[in-house]
Amino acid sequence: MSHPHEGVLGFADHKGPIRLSADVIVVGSGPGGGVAAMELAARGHDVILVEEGPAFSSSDFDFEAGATMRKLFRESCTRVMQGNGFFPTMQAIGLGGGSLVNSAISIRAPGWVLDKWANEHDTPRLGAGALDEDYAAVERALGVAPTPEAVMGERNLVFKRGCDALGISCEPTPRNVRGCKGSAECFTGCRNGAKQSTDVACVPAVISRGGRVLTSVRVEGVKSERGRVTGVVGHVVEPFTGKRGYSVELDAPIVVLAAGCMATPRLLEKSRLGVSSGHAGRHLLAHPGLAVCALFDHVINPFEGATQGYHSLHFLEQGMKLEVLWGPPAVLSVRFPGFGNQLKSHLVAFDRMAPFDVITNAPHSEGEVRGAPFGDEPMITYHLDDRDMATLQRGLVILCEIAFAAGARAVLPGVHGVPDPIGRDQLHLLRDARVTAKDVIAGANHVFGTTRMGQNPRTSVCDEWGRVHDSRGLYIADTGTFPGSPSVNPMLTCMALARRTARRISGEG
Amino acid sequence: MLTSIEQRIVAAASDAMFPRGGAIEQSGSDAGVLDYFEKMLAEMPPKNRALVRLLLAFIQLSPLVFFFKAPFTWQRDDDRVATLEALSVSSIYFLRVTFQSLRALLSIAYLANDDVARQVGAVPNLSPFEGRA
Ligand SMILES: Cc1cc2nc3c(=O)[nH]c(=O)nc-3n(C[C@H](O)[C@H](O)[C@H](O)COP(=O)(O)OP(=O)(O)OC[C@H]3O[C@@H](n4cnc5c(N)ncnc54)[C@H](O)[C@@H]3O)c2cc1C
Ligand code: SF4
Repeated sequence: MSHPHEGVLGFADHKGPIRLSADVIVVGSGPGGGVAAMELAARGHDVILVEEGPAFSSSDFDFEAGATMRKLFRESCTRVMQGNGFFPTMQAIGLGGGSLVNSAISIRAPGWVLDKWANEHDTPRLGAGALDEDYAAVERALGVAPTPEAVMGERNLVFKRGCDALGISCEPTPRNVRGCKGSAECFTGCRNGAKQSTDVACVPAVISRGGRVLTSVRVEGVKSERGRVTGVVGHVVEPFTGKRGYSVELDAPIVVLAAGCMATPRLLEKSRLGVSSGHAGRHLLAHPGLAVCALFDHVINPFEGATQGYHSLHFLEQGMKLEVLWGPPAVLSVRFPGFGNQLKSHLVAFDRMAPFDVITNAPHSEGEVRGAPFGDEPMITYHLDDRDMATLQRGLVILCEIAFAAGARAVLPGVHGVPDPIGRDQLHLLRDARVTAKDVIAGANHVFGTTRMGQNPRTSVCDEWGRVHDSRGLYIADTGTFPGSPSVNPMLTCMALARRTARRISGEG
Repeated sequence: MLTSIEQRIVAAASDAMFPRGGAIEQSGSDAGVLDYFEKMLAEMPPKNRALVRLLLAFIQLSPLVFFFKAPFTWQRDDDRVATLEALSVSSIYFLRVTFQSLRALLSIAYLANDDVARQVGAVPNLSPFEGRA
């Protein structure tokens, strides 16, 4: 079998200024861009897919967390949203975008969410059922299936036992993997080649249809003439240092921006396109999340088992999703209390630990992405509303209850002002505490909304097919288009919407 | 990459954060935290590198500014531990964030040591369920 990146052009292949033309240029190869490029190529378009980061093969992934964070993530994984607290947020840079490093959770937004979008967010054509065909197609293409029992491991199963004991519904997480071996390394990249990230699942399909895939090329602007898009300009960039090299100019009558919801609004701003509504870069939505570590007397060995193999949608309509969590110890231990010998004693107890997390759809919280006074990276602000913080606190309490019901002896809640760890009889201390955004480390890797869709060009950036209102030939196909929270992990919805955009460009639907 | 004063701050902070002995024998210095920190800094984009440097300067001067004590590296081992303790439980959010940022960076460096990682249980196994019933 040939290598999935065969035919992909990388930094070493760029030996001079690049000037090419195509039918469609897709900027960004994450879930949105990868699927858009694949679907457009399948419909006979001559596609160029452009990605700023390099391609990573299974053998390039590193088990060591720090090396991964510096290589695979923007700003060496130190990016934060600032507001009434510091909220870490991670965006990948590499062929495959976020699908390279994510846990492969692939879940449809429930119908009631899409109805809410339709009714409250001016996307009437996107109600329940509208994405069914697109969801089904991407699920097939990416091998989405529930996590099999054989690769669950105790970390996942203990969550299920806790939920079962409390009558909380839970299910094996559907994931886009083929032949997952349960190595729990999703965050640092799948060295088993099982994860169907877009570089594996979409890029070969683009190339086999004659499409071109350029990595290590940063798009810096969209060209247009009298409101009609004519292509993009940018530069070759050296992997990891971002040093600018040869100039790049790509011509096409259609450009699909899928650079992610933090980068696409910046591209619009620089190109003076899609900005007439004044909404590009605003309305940043997120799923802030918190985690607890449950401490058991028996060996859990959390280092094995599908990264996030079980989840609970039981409280979804109350704004909470509960999940089993895993990541490298260096990342998870940021929630541990103290330092010195106390910290060391928690570190060696990892084998008896199971981390669980709660994410909220945070309907009351919002932020913004803007250009920074210096450098290429955006300035990101976010305000976590007290009501959403209260939802997270409630979620933490439920996670503790699940842990205790599963037999945990104690739980590390990771909340300033609450004892760490707490036993079952101390749960009221967490429940009754007055917790604010400053008492926790709430991370948010699900981000969207900065180029939202809608019918009204005065209140949205693009229409329900991702077509930018104020220019011709310009589309957006990343999570920025979401008009509201999907309430579940966003990747599959991003992909379904990207496919819908590709169908629209091709004159279908 | 690190200046000599920055090296002293990292070394002092890593040994206060991870002193020798306890559940994992190696101290921060034993685990090569300083060398790793150098490498980490070199591989960071300039803006983030500048922020890490600011963090180190802040750690050095925070005892002086907030607790009326000597700069971090001038302190005895016990006092450094007390300084970290004070930062970690401070009622001032920014000081707690400073502590957490420092601890996150030092933990990444500490856990990058193979021997430490092994004691934590982080041993790569690509196919943990193979051959199990
Ligand atoms: C650690 C982690 C775990 C997650 N787990 C899950 C999960 O299990 N399930 C789930 O549904 N979601 C998960 N998410 C979220 C999910 O991965 C993202 O929502 C998704 O990747 C967003 O897709 P996107 O196409 O909008 O943007 P991205 O994935 O961010 O892709 C954008 C791409 O564009 C490139 N790019 C940016 N600017 C330029 C430019 N100027 N020129 C060229 N290229 C550019 C970027 O390098 C990147 O590759 C996770 C995220 C993280 C970080
Ligand atoms: S759990 Fe391991 S084998 Fe499965 S997708 Fe993640 S990294 Fe790959």
